[in-house]
Amino acid sequence: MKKNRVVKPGQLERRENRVGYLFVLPWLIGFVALVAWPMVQSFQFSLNKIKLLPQGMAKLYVGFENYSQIFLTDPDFILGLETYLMETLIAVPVIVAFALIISMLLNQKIVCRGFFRMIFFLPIIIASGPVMQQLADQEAASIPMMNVTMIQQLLDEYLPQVLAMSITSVFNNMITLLWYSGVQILIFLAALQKIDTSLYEAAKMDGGSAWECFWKITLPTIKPMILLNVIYTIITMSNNEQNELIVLIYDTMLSATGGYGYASAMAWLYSIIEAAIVIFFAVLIAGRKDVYERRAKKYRRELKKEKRLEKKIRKRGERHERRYARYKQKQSKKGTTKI
Amino acid sequence: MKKKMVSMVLTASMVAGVLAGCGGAATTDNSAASADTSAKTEASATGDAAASTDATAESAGLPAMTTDEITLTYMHFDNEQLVNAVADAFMAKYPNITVEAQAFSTDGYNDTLLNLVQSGQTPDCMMILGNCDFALSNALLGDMTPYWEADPENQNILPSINNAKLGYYGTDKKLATPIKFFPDAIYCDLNVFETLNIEAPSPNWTWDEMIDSFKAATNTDAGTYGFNQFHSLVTYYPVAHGSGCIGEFGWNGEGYNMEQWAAGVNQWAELVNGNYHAPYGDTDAMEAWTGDRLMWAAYTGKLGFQLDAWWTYLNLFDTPDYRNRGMEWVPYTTPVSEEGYVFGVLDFGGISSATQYPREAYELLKWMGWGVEGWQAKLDAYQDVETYADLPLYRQAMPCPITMDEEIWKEFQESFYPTANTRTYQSVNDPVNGEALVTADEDTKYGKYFDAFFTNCKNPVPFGDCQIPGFSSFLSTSYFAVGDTLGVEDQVRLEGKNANDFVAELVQKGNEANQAALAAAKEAYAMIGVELNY
Repeated sequence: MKKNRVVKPGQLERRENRVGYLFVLPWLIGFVALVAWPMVQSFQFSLNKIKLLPQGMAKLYVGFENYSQIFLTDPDFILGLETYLMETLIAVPVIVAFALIISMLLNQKIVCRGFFRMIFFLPIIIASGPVMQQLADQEAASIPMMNVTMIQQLLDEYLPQVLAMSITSVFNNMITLLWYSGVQILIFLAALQKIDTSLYEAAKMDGGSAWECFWKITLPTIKPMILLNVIYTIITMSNNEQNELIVLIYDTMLSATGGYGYASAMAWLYSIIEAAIVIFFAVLIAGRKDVYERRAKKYRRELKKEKRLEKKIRKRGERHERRYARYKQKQSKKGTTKI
Repeated sequence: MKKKMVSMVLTASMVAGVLAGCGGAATTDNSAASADTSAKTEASATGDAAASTDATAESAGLPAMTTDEITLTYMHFDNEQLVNAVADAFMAKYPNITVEAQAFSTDGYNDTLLNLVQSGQTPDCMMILGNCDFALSNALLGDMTPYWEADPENQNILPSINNAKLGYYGTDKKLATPIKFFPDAIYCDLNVFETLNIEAPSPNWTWDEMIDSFKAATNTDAGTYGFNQFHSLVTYYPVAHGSGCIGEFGWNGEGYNMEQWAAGVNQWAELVNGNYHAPYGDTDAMEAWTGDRLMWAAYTGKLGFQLDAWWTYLNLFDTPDYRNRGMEWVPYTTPVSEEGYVFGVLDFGGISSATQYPREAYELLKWMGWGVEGWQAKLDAYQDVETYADLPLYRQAMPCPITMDEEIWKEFQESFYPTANTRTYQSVNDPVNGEALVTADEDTKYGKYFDAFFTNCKNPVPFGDCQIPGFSSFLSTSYFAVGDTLGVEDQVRLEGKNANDFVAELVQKGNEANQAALAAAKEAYAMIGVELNY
């Protein structure tokens, strides 16, 4: 008779862990080879002056000189960073808000819903890289009916130039920005479809309007997806071929006065700014509690307070009980002695 | 389930896209080369017919060509058919040498070259597109001074190449040399002058005569403008005026003298603001003038002069589209300076600092660029009646000879351009319409202009970026617009500033940029054991 194998405690968990690691291994290898190592190498480059000699690559260690040079002698990069920062801060909310509106429309029961969904995702497939560049070159990136010159004049009058330029640039590239929304629409659509419909039904039975449903059910539920989309948008905008800083870094990499080392230092500074923008938005979104979270937090706080009070009362009761028991004991001992 | 599948596919494609975007180009140390650059070639000489090449050259000190079976790579952005024709002729003369021509588009050409270098595939000979700095700071160009100075054929080339020491970049080494030559042309539409009933200027004009002609061709009633520029008056002015000037911004080979540049900028601003310059494209003024906002001024038939490149003639002005609109464009050179210099576009080329066959690479470069034999092969190729993309080969940006050989020039001029001289060579037949490219009428009407043009154009000095180290970085950091600050020229034109006020600062910055670029080049060459002095 075959004996049943005895599974030791924790063995199953370990086995599952091993399988899990096996599954993520290809990604890990890819990450180390294609991301982590180039990053280390790029940082190493940024501390060197690099020459691409026909006889081989030559490195000359210069410490942080490349970084200081950027601030001392490179007005293009610093001004480019400033423009990038302003444009990103303005464009990201525009893209995410647009994606949310479109995804809500596409979530309605409308005729040819599948076709419309495809239309909004299509730019992601066809208008990437060089195609996008061509469209931008042919001035197809702005809405023809929009009088950008007038908007610019108006903004120049009332706003500081840096801000006016950044907002004008958003209007100039309106179509491009909207075309960046395909993936975000998809993510929002997935999140919207996950919302339990009974929540809306219950809200409607209680007399909630569509507006209230949006603010009190839809928005709080998809908040994690908003953060995800914001991060995705920042990364996409920061790393595409139309980004002037990317072009500048690329040109510098191959220029005489720049080279791989200098361009790597630029890339690292750019990454730090990019990361700062991501953190800014993450804190802005994740740090904000909605009404339910605030109520829940208050309820949890009150519950804790009640529990503490209960515990206090219970402990006080126990203390009294013990004291009373000791008293009784003393009394009974006294009675016995008297007898 | 279906939805899950769709979402998985979409997610996968997104992840793939992101990964593809993130995949950095990992740089690997170039293990190639480190070959002894001088050794191999100076060895064998005798015996073979191919080796007994140019008796004059060898007797004058050029080492003999190798008789070993070797392969040379030539990287270029020239016309592919033309280069292949010259390569075939070269290989016919040197059957032991195989030439592999690698044609690349001008778009990103220098980047491609550096990528090849980085991956250990540096070509033996190469063209350099514009900016010389990337090639110098990475020591791509080999020293060809001994070959250059020992080659008697180099005494019979465009004089400015030796007089202005082009390709030395202010150092003691000949690192590159012009291998394509497009004289700059100030095209004059004779039809406009006929319409206005005024006489066209003399082909041997002075600067002031040129400016007067621009003004004479501007006529509000007739709706004509004096000039439109692709290449700028600001570029031309110092070359036409400065004594000792061999480049843009008054470059004299060692530093900038920008007084003439300032005079040029002020005059240019005055002419543009005085409406002698045609309206710029995509402006209200252009729309008001032509009814088409995006019109090119030189296509209107109402423009006196177009300051442009040489290739515009065969590419556009000599095509039925323009001729049928009544335009009769003829070229003038930029006014000739005291030293005889005019402005021209020169594309440079050099041999690799890591080539194992520098002598052979030099010879190949000569064939592709300035050598008589190479030019003969080119002229033969231009007679090709086949069309490429509906155009005959000669219409595909045909440069002028760099050699001063009289026969080559005569054949070049008479085969493709009008001439007033008695013809030794007949015009080629245009394979598109089956007719002669140049008719007898055109000879009569335009011949004298072309003859004068070709006489005057042979002493060209090129754009700054291809001959002055640090020029590009000087322009981008100190001359062009940075952020909200307008570029220097626009400050003069739009804000009414005086260009003379910028001179001292620009001279200092320009010279600093030059010294920095030379220092970078010296550092790179020191790494490969070559001492570069400047």
